[in-house]
Amino acid sequence: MIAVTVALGAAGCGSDNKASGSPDMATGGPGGCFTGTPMTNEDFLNACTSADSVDVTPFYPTNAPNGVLPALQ
Amino acid sequence: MTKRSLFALLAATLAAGPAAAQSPPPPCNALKDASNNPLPPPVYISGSTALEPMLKTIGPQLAAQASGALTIVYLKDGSCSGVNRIFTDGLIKQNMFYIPPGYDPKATPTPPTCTVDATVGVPGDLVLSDVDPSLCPTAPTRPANITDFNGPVNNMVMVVPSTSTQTAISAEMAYLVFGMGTPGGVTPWLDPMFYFIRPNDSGTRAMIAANIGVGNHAWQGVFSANGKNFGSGDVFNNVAAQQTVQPEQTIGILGEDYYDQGNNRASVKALAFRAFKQKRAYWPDSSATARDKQNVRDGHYKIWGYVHMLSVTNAGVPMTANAKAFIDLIQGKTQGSGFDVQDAITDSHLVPLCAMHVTHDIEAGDQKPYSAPAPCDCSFVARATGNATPTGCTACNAGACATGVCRKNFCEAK
Repeated sequence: MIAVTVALGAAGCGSDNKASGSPDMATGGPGGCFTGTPMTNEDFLNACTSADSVDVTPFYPTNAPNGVLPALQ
Repeated sequence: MTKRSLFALLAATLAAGPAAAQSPPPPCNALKDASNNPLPPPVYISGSTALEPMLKTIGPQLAAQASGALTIVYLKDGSCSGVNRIFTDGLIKQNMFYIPPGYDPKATPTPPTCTVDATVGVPGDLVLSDVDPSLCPTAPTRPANITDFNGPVNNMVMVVPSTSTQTAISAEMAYLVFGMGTPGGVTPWLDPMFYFIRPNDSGTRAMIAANIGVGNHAWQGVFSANGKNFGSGDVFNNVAAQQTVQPEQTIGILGEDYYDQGNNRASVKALAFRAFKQKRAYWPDSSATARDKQNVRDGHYKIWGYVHMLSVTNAGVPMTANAKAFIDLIQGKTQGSGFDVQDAITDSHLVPLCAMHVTHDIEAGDQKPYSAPAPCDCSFVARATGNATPTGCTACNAGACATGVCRKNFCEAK
């Protein structure tokens, strides 16, 4: 079972679960969320927000070590 | 639950269809009301099953217009089936349903049906697809005379029974679940017999596939029973049926507009989704229980797309007047006679373009900033949530706003 944490009302986007290839953003908000005016896809995905969010494991370690997914057969 | 009993449940679900009509259904090209008066001219539409709620909401109002009334006649056979049709001969050769004036989807969830000559067929006016045609696995090359008109925004959700303790899924997890099944090893979704999905002609599936990296690869899961492919309703019924059976193992896919209908959220719940390159998972709305589509509108929830309205065109103009009338109405180029199109779109659980702050070139593509020429954030959220004055909004009347523009009784940004 994957452990998840619901961050109710947190104005942030978490920072403890960087996947391989995560954006190297200039981030200053809680949890490393993007504080500026979003312009790129990754800015929008990680912009600071008051919305609820869940800290979910970014990849499944057993079958996607280091975030590399296996090819589908 | 054994696999045999699961199939029995599926069969029972599918068998529980609408009661048989008391009189033979009329031909779709000669529809009449109860007084035997002709109904407004038909606009023949096919494609997405996920967009059925929009047609049921807009249809009665479109048919009741004092001028320019149309009767929506619809075949819901999947976005990509519709795409394949309009990219070939464009003919609809199956019986359809239609939306007469006064139709009440709450009182009669299944609309009346009409018949089509299966040999000759009827030429469709337009196709509704949840996804760009290029994402359909078997779509032929788009003919040059087919134009794709953007409509409002719909988003897709991965859902579990309301009794499940699961709250979120990442793109990587969904790839392993739907792409690999049991060998994917993602607990608790280890048994594909409990994945209730859609066939590969589904826009719902294509949009999610694009966002989880599965592409056109085959999916693990159950997408038909008794020889009938699942529509959105079948997926919903099967997921809901597992509330007291195997809630943890069960997962399904739905359009948000279907998920938001009536009391559906009492039986199934959407998972928050974490996209590739995203740090946390978000629901389409600002919380699991909200209905504001905040994360779709601001780019935190990635599984969204425009309603694609495909029509045969000449120099970019729909060839049939009825197709043009429908498209112009949905795009807000014309106004409804006696009804507000933005409200109808909102009531269909879709997002009007005026409430969006991101755009993209194709589903699952990179998001970019979007600034609506006449924003409607406050009026959208008020209507969608039932909150008379949403947080951060200022009510106005007589056009007076300290800043911004008074539109639909709210001060909007511009």
